[in-house]
Amino acid sequence: MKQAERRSLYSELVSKHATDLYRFAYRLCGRNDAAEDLVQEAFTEAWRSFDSLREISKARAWLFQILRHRYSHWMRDNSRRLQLESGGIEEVEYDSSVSSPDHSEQLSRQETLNRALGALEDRYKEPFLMVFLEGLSCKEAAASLDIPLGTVLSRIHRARHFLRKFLKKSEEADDDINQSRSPDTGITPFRLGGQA
Amino acid sequence: MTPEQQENLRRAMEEAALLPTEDPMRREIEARIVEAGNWAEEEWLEMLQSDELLRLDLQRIAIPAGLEEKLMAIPDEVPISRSSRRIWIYPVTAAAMLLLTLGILQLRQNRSTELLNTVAMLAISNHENIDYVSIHSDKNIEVEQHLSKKAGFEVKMPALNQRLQLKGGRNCGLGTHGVVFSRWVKDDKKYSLYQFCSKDFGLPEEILKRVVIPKCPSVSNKQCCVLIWTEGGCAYALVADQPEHLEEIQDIL
Repeated sequence: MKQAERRSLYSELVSKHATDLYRFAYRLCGRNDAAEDLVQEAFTEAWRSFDSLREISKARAWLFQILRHRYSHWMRDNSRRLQLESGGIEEVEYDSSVSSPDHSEQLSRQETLNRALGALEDRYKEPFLMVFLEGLSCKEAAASLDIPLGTVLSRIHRARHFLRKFLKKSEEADDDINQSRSPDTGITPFRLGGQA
Repeated sequence: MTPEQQENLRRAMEEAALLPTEDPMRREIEARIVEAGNWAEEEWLEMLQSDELLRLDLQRIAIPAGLEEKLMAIPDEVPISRSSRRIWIYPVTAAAMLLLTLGILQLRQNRSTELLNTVAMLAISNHENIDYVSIHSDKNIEVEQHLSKKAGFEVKMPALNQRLQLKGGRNCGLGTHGVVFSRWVKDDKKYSLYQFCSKDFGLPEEILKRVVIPKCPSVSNKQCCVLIWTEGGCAYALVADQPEHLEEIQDIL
């Protein structure tokens, strides 16, 4: 492939897929800086190994594959993995104790979702994101991860169940907190000596 | 429907929601949902809606400003692709290997040509200086049997009899190696045939028929030339006084 042709194709891929790749990276690692780094690393690798892209129609899947590969390296180097490995999907539950009034104000649904994803093990998170965010079919995700379709379905089912549960508990906790706030200002009233 | 059946259907619905709408498994579950009644339909729709919400939530991420620009700058920062280098390396390596192989072959060929030249010069020298034979006979078999006794290999006369007449032969040496010499004539032209082991002279076992005219002129100022070839595992050098003499018999060999 000629240099000019290569550059033009690269630019096209950046315009088309960079945003989706960033979203995917962010949902995987849960950090802006790391997600940006991962996307840059993925595109750098893509640029270097452009000749390994046999079919342009498969460029999106190819880029996501590179990104997942970079993420696995990132995880290996990241101590966060050790924390995650200590807790499985069944053990991680929404911790309502973190929902103090101040804390809950900061936690939007997005942040809660991010925390929930952060608590998910990669073996559940990856197929889930591949189908829900990357837009792959379950069959394609199974082929890409080299695991049976039944396993993909089961893992996504568990991931989805966990996320829903996590989000629901978070919303319930927020509702409880809101109920104890002043209806006018939304701010928890200051109580002095037990009086409002 | 028992609570257990309902739970099984819920589980199937969860998985079916992940499948494309045209998937047969999903269609089958949808049929079961319709059969199960309102509660199942409501849960199914809720599930689909919940999935869509989740999908939308996952996509709600602020993209960092300048990300695309940074990515677009990568080709300028990353000089040459490893793959591209590899692409160049393969033909270059192949070309180098080819040149090396050709070089080795050329060296071998040169070496082989030099050896043939040496054999030709020795044969011509012998042809010009020594004319006697130890057996006089025009019968190939007799000469072969006689000379085989002293030769370290099986003596076989090539089919020269169609054009030349055998006069006899003897065991002699070319350089330091033992060979079998036979004298052949046609009209007033004489031919010397030498049979030898090609490996004694470092020659390949298979030599295509070729005429060698040594660079070094012969002492008699004749334009002696030698036809060298292998046949049936034996190597032969046929010396003639003039190149055109060989032309007459090349076609029968």
